Amino acid sequence: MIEQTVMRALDFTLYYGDFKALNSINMEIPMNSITAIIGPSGCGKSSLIRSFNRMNDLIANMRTEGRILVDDEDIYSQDVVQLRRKVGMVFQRPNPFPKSIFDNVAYGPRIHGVRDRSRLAAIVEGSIRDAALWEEVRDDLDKSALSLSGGQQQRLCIARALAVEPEVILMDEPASALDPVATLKIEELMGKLKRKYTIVVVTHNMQQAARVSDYTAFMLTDPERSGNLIEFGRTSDIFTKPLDKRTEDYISGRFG
Amino acid sequence: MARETYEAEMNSLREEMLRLSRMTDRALASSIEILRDRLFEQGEKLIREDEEINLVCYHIEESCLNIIATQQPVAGDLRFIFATMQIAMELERIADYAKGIAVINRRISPGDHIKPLIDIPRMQHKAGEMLEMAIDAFLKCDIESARRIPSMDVEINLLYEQVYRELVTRVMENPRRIADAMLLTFAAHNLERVGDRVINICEKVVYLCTGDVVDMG
Repeated sequence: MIEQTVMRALDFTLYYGDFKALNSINMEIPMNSITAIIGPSGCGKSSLIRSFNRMNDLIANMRTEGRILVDDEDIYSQDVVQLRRKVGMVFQRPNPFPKSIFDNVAYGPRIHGVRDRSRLAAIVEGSIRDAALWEEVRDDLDKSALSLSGGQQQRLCIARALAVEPEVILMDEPASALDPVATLKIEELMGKLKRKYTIVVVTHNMQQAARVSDYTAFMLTDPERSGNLIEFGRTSDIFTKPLDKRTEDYISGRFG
Repeated sequence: MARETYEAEMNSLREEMLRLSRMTDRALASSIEILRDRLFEQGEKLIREDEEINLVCYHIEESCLNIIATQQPVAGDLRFIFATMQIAMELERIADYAKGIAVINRRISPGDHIKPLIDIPRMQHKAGEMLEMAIDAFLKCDIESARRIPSMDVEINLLYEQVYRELVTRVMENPRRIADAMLLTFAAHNLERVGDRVINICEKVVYLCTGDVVDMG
């Protein structure tokens, strides 16, 4: 069913102290596609997406069982900075640095050692173009990123993520703080980005999942409040003929 | 989370479908009475009433589109909406066949038919039975029944062959009534088509229950 896998969770379990937030998740993320993770609040979808590039590491008493592989390599057997270069992240609220537009995008490549001015400029332009923002900011690269609108800021954050040439981009509710027009732009952009990258997106908006994604994962908590993966499949199947009654009830708005 | 408006809209759609199927079923039964007993006045009434069936069908289509636009149905609900739109169309066409039979009656020369009508009413009886079962399967999402019903069409086809053969021999005996015989063949053909339309309905019921597109014809 799945062509080529870029990322894989194998019996992945996540604990916050004694609380089991994720219960034995098995999931494959297909390459050059968009995978949406949906489910009601507290189902563990953010915990899962944050596990993919070890964003949960900073939480005290966090521990994991099982494995997550990126390109067949365990994420805990590699350097976290290198991991996050391969697996970038875009958050719910646009969070540009209080720097110029140029410096925001150049930030990552500089950390990874790019010093050459013309090469940096090329990376910045390429990334901003890929994020469908170039026409809007090409003459204002020295302006503060904070002067942009919310939707532009979010696309700038996407450009910033693209600048280090990741393989996977994780998006945690990337459009929930944006108006419908800006949301549409982000969604269109995601469709274009998947030609070069693999995208995993967490969304509360079921229609958004149905519109933009190729694959959908549905998560739900069990009686112990641990997040479980209930169903994973092609989005066209999940939204027309889900196999699990709980998936059907959730996507048709009958609970959650 | 209850979606009361949505549930109410879906339920009223079910009721509308039940209404449309009853109207269609009645039109079909009445068309054969009209033809058998040469009831011209009743025939004109049936022709007029077909317009009402068309309106119910349009209304169902409109409700389906409204639900899609405003409620974004998915999964089983989406399949139900899709199946409803297609089945409503099939019912509307079946009603057109019934109307067609009333029009045929109008054109056949007054008086007795070239042969007593025995197998044509049988065809109607069988088709009506299939239709009723198919709609029942639709409303109950009864996939077993939907898979069984198409085999009943064999009987309608055999009756159609029989009607055709018999009319050919009658025409040989009485060539002056060749036009009337042809018109009766058309009427039988309409009923044969009803059987095929019911099979289409069964295919939609299978789709509704499983999401699989099947060809049962």
